[in-house]
Amino acid sequence: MKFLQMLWRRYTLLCVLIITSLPLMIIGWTGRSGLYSEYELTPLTKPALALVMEGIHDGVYPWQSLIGPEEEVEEADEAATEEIAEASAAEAVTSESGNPAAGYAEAEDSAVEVVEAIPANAIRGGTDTIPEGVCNPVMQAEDYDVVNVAFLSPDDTEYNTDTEGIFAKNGIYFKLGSVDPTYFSDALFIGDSRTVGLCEYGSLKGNAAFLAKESINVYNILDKELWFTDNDEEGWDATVEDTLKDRSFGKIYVALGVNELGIGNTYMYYEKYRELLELIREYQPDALIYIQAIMHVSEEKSSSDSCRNNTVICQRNYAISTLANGRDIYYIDMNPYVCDAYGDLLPELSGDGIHLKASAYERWDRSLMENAAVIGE
Amino acid sequence: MILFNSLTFLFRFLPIFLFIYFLTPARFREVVLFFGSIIFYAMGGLRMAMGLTALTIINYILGQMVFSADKGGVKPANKRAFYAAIAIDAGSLILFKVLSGLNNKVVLPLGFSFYLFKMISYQADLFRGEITRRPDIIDTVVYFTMFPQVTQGPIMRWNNVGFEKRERTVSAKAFNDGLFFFVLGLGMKVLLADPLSMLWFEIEKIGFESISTPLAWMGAIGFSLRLYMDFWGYSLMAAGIGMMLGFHFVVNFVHPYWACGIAEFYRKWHATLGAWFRDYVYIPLGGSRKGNLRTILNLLVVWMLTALWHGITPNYLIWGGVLAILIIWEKFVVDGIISSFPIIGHLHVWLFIPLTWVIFAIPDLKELRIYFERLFPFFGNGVNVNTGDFMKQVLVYWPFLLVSLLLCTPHWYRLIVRNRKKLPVILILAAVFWICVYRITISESNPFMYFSF
Repeated sequence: MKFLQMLWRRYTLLCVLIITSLPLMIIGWTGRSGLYSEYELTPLTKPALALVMEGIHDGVYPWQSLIGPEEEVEEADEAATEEIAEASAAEAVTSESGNPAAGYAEAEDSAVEVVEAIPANAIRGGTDTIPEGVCNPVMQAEDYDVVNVAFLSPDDTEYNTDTEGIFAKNGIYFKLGSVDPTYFSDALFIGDSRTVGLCEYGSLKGNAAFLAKESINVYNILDKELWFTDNDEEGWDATVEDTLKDRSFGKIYVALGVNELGIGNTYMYYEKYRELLELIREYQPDALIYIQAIMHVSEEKSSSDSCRNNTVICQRNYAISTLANGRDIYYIDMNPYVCDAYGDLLPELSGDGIHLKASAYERWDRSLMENAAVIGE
Repeated sequence: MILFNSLTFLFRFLPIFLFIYFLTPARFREVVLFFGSIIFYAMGGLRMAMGLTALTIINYILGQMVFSADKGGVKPANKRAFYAAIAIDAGSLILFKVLSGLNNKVVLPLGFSFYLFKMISYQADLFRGEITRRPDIIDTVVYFTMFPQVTQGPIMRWNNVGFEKRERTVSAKAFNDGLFFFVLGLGMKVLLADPLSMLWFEIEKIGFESISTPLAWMGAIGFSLRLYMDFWGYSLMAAGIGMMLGFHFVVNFVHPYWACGIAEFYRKWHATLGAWFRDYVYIPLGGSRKGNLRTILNLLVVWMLTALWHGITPNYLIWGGVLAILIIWEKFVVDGIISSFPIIGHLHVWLFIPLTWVIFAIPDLKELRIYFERLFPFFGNGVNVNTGDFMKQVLVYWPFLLVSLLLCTPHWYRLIVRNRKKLPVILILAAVFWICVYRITISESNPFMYFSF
């Protein structure tokens, strides 16, 4: 006892650090195949307590290991019930404005009328192949052979485009054309820091609405509050779901994909992206949805970064482009406006190789104005 | 080589090394330290470990030939060996600097130049007879290779860390103090310097031509503080480990932003580097004893060498040149005014030092001009400036800026150091340690965390 007292008196800081590390080590070590089984433990270089830290970061707290299996089941049941309740609530909301399918039928009807008004812009469709000029082609880029294949999906991956009921299957295709800024007055831009930049430095602020936040990706976008701003109003925090529920938009632009480059593979990204579009369609049955290409990165990044490179970006752009139908969902690609012949982001347009500089956002603005579906105008 | 602020170092290398070090009888601890250091480098790549070993052996052999204190004077053979050693050490330094400057792919091993500085000072001290006891091989290799002083210094000197008299004061007090400084330094690096580096990243992202003038100034101040917290933090970690092992504490930063004038700032900023240039370049050139003109020339030489040591891009030369001019200006023109009104000296530091760091930070001269046009907007207009950018960044970075600013004053730091044995301070420090571990874990498991867009 005296020895311990002496230790404490002489080495207080060391003792505090050792005492606090012991429970963390024990929790990490015992939970390595349970609570923390998803995290990699490399005992040579990484201590078990790192698992606890990683867990805290992802919302997995040590005391969760104390909850018995029965309680966990109960919790899971509760969560499921909540989900169902939420789903019915969502249904109730959509029924108020007509059920989703009916809403969609109306949209299609109005589209047909528009075609009669501007036949030159429209091509009668009905096949699964979207004619040229409807949607942008996916811009390709030089492969610098640095890619980590874990972030890719096999080239022959099939992306399910059978989305009837949510996305239009048959109908009329519209070519993309030029519009003036007023086109965006009923538009909502959803995205990550790149969209934050578009809001702050592009010419659309005060005209369009923005719902964006740094570090957002398709995996967490529905769980977080983003920053909403509309027509230069003072902004506020809002979730995607609440915004779509409370307001009505004519066009919804989505730009997500740069934060996901180091997470999962292309197919996982595609699936989450598709879920997001399904949610948007559920709440906004009449809106035109624009899938915006992930902007490429600079040659410096693309030739040195195993995940943030244009090879991964091009594959992911291809994957999300398959979600477009050319009638009420479009794929637009701004890369030709900001890239060189190799498909690399022009270095003079970017300070970090990933974002546009403030002075370069006018190129993104221009790409939006020159690639819009003109329906009913 | 592994970084101090990594899980591998904190939870694997350091505890195991300390355990073995203290279990070993005192007379064999040098050997443990030598092998520990070699393993430390080898963990980061064999190339550096091999290069370091080769230079160590060459310097030891030449050092034995340079040593003349026991023969009563310098002989031509001593001189030849000394010049050969200096040529090899300085040549290696220049070669690596030029290669890494010309081609980004030739990376100068981290901390390599600090070793060469230490080797040059070792040879010079031997040559001048300042090392009076013939160094044996164990002492020499340990002195060159000891891992606590690595990537950013401090540049230890044979005599001032206790090699001359083989002084080692391994004690509970020294160990405790060492651990305290280590954790304090870790906190500065991980919780202040790293977040502040993101502010500069934000500014680069926007593009210098589009930042508002308040943001440009905030960027300059943020960069100045980040550099300080980074560098001072790392120096404290290194000095702390040194203390735990029984070496003297090496002072490298003495509240430089509280200095009264630019010259004083550089006596207090990275003091071991400044002292090195003073003792091995400025004074051998004649210092200030050979007239004003010669003093000015010597100052210019020292600052140009300092600039070239940092890098070979033109911005470093401008940086060194501006500092030399400011120091000459203080020494010969406003010296009297600063003595009477110290506030002028403080204002010099607070105004000019952040501006010189901006020059230091931006290698592209065109971009550098643009940044200065934003700092002083009467020289030009910005492009697509968002006037709200300043407030946006203030809301994110104010806690880091505030704490760093407080640490710039000697008072807060002294208050913490004075009370380091009190339980509340110890508990706060333990909390700092665990928050650091959390941040390090997250950034290691997801290297892109700092770069979430």
